[in-house]
Amino acid sequence: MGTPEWMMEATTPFGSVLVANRGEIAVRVLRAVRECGLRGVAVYNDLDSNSMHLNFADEKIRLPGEDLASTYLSMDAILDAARASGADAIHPGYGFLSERSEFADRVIESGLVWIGPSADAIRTMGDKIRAREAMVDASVPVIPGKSIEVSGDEDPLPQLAAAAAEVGYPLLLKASAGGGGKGMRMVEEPKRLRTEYDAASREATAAFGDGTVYVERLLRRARHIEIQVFADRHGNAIHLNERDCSLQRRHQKVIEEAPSPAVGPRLRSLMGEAAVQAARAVHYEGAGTVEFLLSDKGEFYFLEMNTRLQVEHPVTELITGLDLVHMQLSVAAGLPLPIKQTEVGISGHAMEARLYAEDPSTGFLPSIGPIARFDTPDGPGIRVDTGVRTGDEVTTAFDPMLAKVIVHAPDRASAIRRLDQALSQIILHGVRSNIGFCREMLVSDTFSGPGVTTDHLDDMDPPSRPEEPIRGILSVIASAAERLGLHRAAVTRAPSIVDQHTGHPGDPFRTLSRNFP
Amino acid sequence: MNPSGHSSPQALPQGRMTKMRTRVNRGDETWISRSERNSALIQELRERIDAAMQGGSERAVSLHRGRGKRLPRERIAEICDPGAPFLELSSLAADGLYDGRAYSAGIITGIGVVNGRECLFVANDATVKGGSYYPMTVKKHVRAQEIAEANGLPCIYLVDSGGAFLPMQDEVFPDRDHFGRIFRNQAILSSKGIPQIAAVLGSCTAGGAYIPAMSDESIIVKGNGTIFLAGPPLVKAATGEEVSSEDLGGADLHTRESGVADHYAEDEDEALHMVRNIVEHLNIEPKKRLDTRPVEPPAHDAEDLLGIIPEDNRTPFDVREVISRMVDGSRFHEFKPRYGTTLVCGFAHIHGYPVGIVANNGILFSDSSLKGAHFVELCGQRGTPLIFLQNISGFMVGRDAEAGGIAKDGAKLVTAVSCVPVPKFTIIIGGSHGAGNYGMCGRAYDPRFLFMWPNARISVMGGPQAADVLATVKDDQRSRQREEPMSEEQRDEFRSPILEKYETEGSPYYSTARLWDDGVIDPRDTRDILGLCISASLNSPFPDQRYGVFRM
Amino acid sequence: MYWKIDGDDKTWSVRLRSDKNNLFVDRLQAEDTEVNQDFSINHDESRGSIIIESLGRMYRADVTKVGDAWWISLEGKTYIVRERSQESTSSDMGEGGLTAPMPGTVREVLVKTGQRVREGQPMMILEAMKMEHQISAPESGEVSSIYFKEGDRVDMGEILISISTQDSSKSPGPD
Repeated sequence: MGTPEWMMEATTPFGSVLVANRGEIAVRVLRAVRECGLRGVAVYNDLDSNSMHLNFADEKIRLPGEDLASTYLSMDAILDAARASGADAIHPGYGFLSERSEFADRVIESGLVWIGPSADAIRTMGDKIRAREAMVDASVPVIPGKSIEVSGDEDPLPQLAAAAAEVGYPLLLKASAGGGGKGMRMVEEPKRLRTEYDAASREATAAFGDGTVYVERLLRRARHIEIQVFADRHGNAIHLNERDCSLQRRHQKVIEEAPSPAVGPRLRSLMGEAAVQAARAVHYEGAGTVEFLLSDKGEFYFLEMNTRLQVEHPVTELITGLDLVHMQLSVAAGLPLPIKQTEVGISGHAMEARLYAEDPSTGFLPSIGPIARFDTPDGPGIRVDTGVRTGDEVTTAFDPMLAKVIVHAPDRASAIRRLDQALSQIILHGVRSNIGFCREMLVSDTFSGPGVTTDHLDDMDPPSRPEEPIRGILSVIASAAERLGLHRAAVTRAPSIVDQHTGHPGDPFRTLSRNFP
Repeated sequence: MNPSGHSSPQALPQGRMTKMRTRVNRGDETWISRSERNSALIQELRERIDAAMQGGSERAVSLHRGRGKRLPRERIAEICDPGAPFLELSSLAADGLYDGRAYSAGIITGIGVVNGRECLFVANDATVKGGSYYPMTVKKHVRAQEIAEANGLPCIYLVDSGGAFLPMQDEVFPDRDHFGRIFRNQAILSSKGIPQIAAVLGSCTAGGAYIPAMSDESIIVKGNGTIFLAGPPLVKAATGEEVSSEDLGGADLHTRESGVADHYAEDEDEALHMVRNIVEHLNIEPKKRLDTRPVEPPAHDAEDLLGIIPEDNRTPFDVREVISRMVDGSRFHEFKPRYGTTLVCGFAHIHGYPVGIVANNGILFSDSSLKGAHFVELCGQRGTPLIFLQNISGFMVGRDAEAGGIAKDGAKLVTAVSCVPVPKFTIIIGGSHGAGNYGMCGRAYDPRFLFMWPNARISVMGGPQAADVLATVKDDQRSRQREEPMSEEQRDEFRSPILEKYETEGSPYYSTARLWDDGVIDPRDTRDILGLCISASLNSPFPDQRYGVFRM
Repeated sequence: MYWKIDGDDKTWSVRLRSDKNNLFVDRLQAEDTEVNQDFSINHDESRGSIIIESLGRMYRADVTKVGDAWWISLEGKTYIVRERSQESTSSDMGEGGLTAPMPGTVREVLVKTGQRVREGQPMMILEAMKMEHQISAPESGEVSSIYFKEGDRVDMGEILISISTQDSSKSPGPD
């Protein structure tokens, strides 16, 4: 398959794209790749040989091994796969190698097109201290904070304590190379400093192999607002409005929405301009997200910039009517942005819930097991981005996020109701999930009002146990299901599943349903 | 992405097997009169089966239910996977025998699906004669075990019986295939790895006590279930000991003290549920695989069979019209169609399973016998199950035939049929007479299953032929004694009791009552029943064939 | 059938009765308490779901068996209901009973008459076939008599110790 017609005028055209990822984002990107008339190449490791994303690819390349380090996280393995498949561009998705500047360099050195920002931009934004300096230079407001270089030989505590005193409590300790909640600890008071520091550096080392620490003032009752930006090679940079990701549990986003109920048109354009400013400061190209903390007084501070496609990008797609992955592909080919800032609008309200395989009753520990059944919701304004389906297995090898349920509705109140309804339609059996938890969040007073802050979920009570009459009904249902033999009926209903015993899908003992004579 | 590289099995070309044409003329007079007669025959079959399915008297049934017991067919349904088919066998056993009320011989047998595994059920009906074993009850129980053995089906015994029917002890107790055979079979089947499971849902007295005792795993239900060699009255008579049946052989005693039973069930429902749990853990090997195809219904409607089957078995009809209403897509790859035309042989699929079909289309001659023997060997070599559609008055007789060696050619067919190591299934669709019955895999040739259509007749020869033969013998006798041959009137008088006897004894109901078959079936169900039987037969491996195919 | 619902300690016991194609609840118990609640049970075969009418409402449940547990989606929530096999009562089991489970010699007596014992507390050690066998209290109570002393030979089934539990209702739980 050659270069599609729409890309003929481009400066760096390509015909096939290797998606260096797995799960829902690989499915999402591979779909877009095909929609754009390109050839999609999927990669998989030995634990993923049957995974859903492979169904959306024109070619699949095995990355031998089971551990992440030698497969999805191995630059050599991915580049070998690109060579083997003849792919001429690489889309990294999110996570894995998406924010590794070295990888961006190596992709370009190999003569391939990198669908993402320049290695320099990634490097600058990936280092929280340098990013902060760059932002200060570009007059983007930043949170009070200080960085500390920690060497393995000396006790970092005196240094840390001094910096902490300067910044003020409560504060956040962050590993410089951290992200996604890892290597990030909250410190309420000076005497907890050592304990939390030890924990942070342990986590950071385990996850990312870097022990530098950043001390930052913790803004209570603040909202997490992020601005989607897009920039092309021709000097155009725009923002696509904000997303509100304030509903977090221990710094992991749970529910995201756009637009933010706390952002009006004036604030939006101020934050948008600041975000575009931030992108320009690092000569950004492609899709990126500038995260801000918004205080209850309406002041906003630069938090960090994510130099990749975000998990929550669909809410922006729904309110703007744009396809961010299509835009990434076209910008990477060297084409100008298809839209001007003045043309970017907001239609209705979009909201996303992340479906995690985790057990709220055990403090949200990951839940593993077979996905014995997964029925996703459908209906007007409901979009499900999933990377798993019935029959898959959830293991500890990968991220516990299974899918995202995104809704679009005319206004916030109806979006909440629509998302709640959509979540209630999900049937997920075999692994526990946070669905019930998400629904409780959605209908809680704090969320339906505008007052949600990033602290919200940490205050929530553990899930309540079912009411007595419901428990009676549940035991009756289980007994009836047992008596009706539904554990086998499920197999017979799906004619595509040949049971191992008979080996013949047409076995009349499975297909006939009457008695003889 | 690669349309040529991989295609679904459904898209496989159906080979060069030809779809059969039908030449029937729906709406002509013969068609209508045949339809009427066959509808009436099926109606009669339905009524007889319905009566048998009622089981015991209303009073017996309500007493039974009063004890918290279900009827045997309900018990089976409770154990089987919901929605899965149950193939009941010999529902009309003992029909018209004894006092005419030993419905289904007081025992229900059949094949059902438990946790996805086909199992053979043997369930006493305590509402029929207290579940006592009449001669036909024993025969039906033993036949069920034979089926289990041949087809490798786990046995589930739902026991609720007072034991042997003492007044007929001479027909129940002493002989090889009498009561003792049941327990011997349990031991032999178990030794062959065929699980034996018993649930004691009622009394289990005397010989009956050995059914749970001989089982691999057994369940007993509190209250209703009892196991003892001698009941309280007999104990009192023998030793003077007075003891309640619960204390003598109840669930508590047998699961806690004697260990005769393994599982204690609070009530019947729990006992039935436990059977499912046991089957779940049997560790049954996957069935034998055949080269199956996606299932295709026949192109011609099975309903037509009613207009095709003639009113009199002596009227010839093209058996291909029957085959085309049984096989997938009505596709039939006929073998040697130009040779030995009175026997139709060929390959087809039924419910996706490959089969070889041998069907009579007239009397058996030397050439048709040789063709049959060749084809049967072919199926043996290929491991293809064989279906015999029997409608045969016999082998050809007469000087030419004898001189042509029909006896040795017929013997070749009988030899091939006897020795072929694949599962055989026989349906008697018309007459089954003389050595034709042998060549076409009659009961003596161990077909895995044998069913009859309601229009079928089975006897050593047809009634009129028998009457003629005997009349001729009689006339010969008279002429030796220098008497006049019988007058036309005398001849009719002589023939009529013979005709009547053959009519009665040749009836499928006479046969099925005596377990000469596994049931009388609605012709329209033949395809489905054959499918189930083939599926069931795959639970045991096929032995090897020892010789190559002898071309005949 | 006995069930435990995740997040709930109670054992639920259900007895169903079926009549032709209909299922009815014969008895529903939470632990030992009978629950009087009307149920009608239906099965939607096309979707494989179970429909329960109870408390004047209709509940539609989608169910999947995973291992020994039923996963039930009911009114937008997912519950896990595990099969619990019926527990045998410990008092008539060999170990922990008050009668000698085998012929042997009393090796050690660990309690005195009048002493209060907790359920499961070891009371006597028997030795037989060079194996030690511990006799523990089947329930909490007061030791009323001890029939053997160290060195005594006992036959199988002989009563070793008796415990009175009459006052246990006044002071439940271990001291």
